[in-house]
Amino acid sequence: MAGPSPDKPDVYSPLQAGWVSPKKVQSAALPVWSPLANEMPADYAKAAKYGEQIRAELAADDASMLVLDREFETQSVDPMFLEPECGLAWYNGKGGNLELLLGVQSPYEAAESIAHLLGKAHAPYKPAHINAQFAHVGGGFGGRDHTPFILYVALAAVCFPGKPVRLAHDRYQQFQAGIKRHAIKMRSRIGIDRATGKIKAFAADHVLDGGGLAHFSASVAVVAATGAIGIYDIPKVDVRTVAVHSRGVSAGSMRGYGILQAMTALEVLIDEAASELKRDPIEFRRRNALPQNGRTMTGNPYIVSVRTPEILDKLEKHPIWQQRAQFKQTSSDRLVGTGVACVTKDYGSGADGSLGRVELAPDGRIVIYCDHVEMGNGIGTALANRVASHLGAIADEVSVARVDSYDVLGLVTSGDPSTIDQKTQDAAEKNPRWVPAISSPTSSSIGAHVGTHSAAEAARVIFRFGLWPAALELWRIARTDPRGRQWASASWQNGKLTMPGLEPLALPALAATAHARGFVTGAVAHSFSRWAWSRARFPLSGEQYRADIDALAIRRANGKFERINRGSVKFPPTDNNRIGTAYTSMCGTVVRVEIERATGALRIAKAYSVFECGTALVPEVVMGQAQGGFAMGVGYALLETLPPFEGGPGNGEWNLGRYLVARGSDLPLRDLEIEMLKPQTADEAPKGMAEVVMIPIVPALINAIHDATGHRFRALPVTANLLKGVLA
Amino acid sequence: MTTLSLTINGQKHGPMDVRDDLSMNDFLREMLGMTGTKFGCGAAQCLSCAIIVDAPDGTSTTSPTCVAPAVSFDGKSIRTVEGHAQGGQLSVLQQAFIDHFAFQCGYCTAGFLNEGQVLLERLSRTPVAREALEQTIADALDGHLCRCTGYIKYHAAVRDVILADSSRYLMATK
Repeated sequence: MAGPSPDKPDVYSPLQAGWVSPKKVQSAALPVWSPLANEMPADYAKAAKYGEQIRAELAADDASMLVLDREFETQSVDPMFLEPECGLAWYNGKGGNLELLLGVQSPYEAAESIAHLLGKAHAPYKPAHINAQFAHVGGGFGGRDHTPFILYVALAAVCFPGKPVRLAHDRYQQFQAGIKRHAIKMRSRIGIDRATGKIKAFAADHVLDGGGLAHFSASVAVVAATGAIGIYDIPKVDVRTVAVHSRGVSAGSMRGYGILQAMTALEVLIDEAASELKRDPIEFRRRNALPQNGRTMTGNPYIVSVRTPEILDKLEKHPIWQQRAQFKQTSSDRLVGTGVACVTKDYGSGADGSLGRVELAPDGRIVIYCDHVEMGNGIGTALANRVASHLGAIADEVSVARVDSYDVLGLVTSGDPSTIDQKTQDAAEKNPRWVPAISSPTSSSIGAHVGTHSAAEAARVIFRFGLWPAALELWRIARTDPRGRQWASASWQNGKLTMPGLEPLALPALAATAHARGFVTGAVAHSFSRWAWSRARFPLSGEQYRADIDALAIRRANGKFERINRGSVKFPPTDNNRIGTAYTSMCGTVVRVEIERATGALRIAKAYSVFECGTALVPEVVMGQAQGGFAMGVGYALLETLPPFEGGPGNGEWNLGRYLVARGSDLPLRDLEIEMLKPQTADEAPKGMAEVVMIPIVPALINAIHDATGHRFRALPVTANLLKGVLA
Repeated sequence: MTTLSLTINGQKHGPMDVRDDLSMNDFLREMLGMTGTKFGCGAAQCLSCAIIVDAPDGTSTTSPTCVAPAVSFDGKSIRTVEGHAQGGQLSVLQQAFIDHFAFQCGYCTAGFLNEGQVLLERLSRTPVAREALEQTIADALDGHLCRCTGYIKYHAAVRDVILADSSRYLMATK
């Protein structure tokens, strides 16, 4: 609930008052949110009062306002990563070791889960030690995050001691047991001032089908709720959301979770609103877009770039949009329409741990260890590039999905980083080994931002306390020389460290000197992000080194790694947990479709997507993610669906013959243009983008279909059969 | 059990006894340890398991291995992803896949590589007109599913190999 003007504080927001829930489930299928507000805790009653006020305004008979009240329904779909889940295990029995080879997105969580599973087992089923190794995986898309599959691998091994165990889903089993995307039913009400075209109020109710296991349903519900107003600046917003248990297939983490569903419903609604108001769809979006520094639904501004206006401008100027009237056909055998949508997607979970280790050999060889997983996301290449920005060369070896390379830090954790209170965090951080979270799944588009952070910081330490002093020696510059502290002026060019007026130095020469002189040649680092990085100082080579990390160990020459005790640690405040999201990226799409009236067959004639991602660590990888995201969005909009109950994948009869994902012939391979905006500044941080690029094509397609057919679909997917039905 | 003999990547295997119901995919992966050939759907719908079958007349096709019994390859000559590089040197198409960042998770890559290679060899025997090239590539690769990439870079890699040696793969322009 915003104040009377943008420069005034909010009247009410989750940032001010915290998040609320009814805390009381009635004897009904769903919690009762509003009518019992008086019986609820005071914080809930306060929120409910404002919520009811917003809903009353939307329900009032006010001729100056356009109010639309619409429902939208999304379907259950499968991540359909191409490699079905599988694992290898060996337990020698009698309390010996349990050896596992697994493929997940969350290796640290997987190792902990198996330890938890077997922690209270009795002999001979309790292993003395669990050694879990994690492989590259053939796609994930969220479906391998906190997967229960690995527990069965471990159980099978301890039940068959002395025998090698391989557990592998076939595709039927993967459809049957794999984690799905939540189907969501959404009712949205939007109120727009007819005179100004400004959105004044928005209310929504979401119900998510979580299926049989409590996977990430609560998080998906929260993310969908906070994404309900998309790119817009709406002063009064009330969203109620609930995820329910059902006898359907289990739903949980999947690429773009919550946001994909909510923003599809919203962007279709926005298109209808613009049409009702007879306003240009892009101008209407621009008029209502949240500006940089504007407050989001939860009351906080984004702390990263918000380039919606630039994206809308590009969409507007694109020939697909400019030529929409010229190409439009609504009366012939082939219908043609154009649609637009613009969305935003958070990256990071608000409680992300990052681990990294970098080693530099005397010959300049670089090895990187990271806890994030390579599953087609390009983390290995991104790590190599980010570390190269500090060490001047692409790594010779990148070892991902490692949970065993940071023991020297001795990290411990406790509590839930998303719900911990400040007092508890303050007390816990007195233990210099404590961090709010040790590791994070490879999810939430955090690869570039979080997955590479600690390795980059480790590389920075090696540069600063290893290569830089080595360079000074080779340049014969005394430490007392003012140039001795001008490391920021040095840069890597063609593999050589350069400083104006000095001889460029090759990495092998620097590495050899660093080793010979006992300088820093390896570092292990950890950090934690709660919409800001943790920060601490470390005594290093006679100075207090401050960095965005909370744990550090270093190696000098070829010595052992030694932990450096941190001082003045500052973890992001726990109040940041009230933020919905502070990191976000924007993406917009225009698309032209052609629909055969007789068959309902839809062809995407042309499409253009434009997005921002800060500094792209590996532009080729970023473009690949954008192209793949587009394809997945097309499948979600037009092809993919799973019945939730009878006849659904739970029956073990589903495979790719009936579950249709986008093939090359479903896509405009030669007519898809994707534009990645350049970073705003040379040092702009990388932003997560692998989810946002999938989203706008979905509502843009639905809007294009409306433009062509005059029919607004309010459920997904819009199949050729459904199109044929409305065109009959 | 049936006796199986075949040639894989130019090397003779067998005779060996295999179960009649052993899939070619399991034969390659489990018996020979050639895990470059993947298993995706088990229903010949995604073709991540596709290999090349070389016919005596010098032509080649791809075949799924997940639904095909190993014994159905008796006496045949096949190529798998392990056979493309020669002497540690990547094939032209393999290098093009890398140069284009064509794959992401890599699980479908062996199938695309085999299909693309068969297309190149077919075009070297029977070139197509430049204007038919896009559709030819699209038709050749469309049976293969990829969930990561959106296909564009695979198509671009195959196209660029063809265009870089157009006199070999394309009909001469009049």
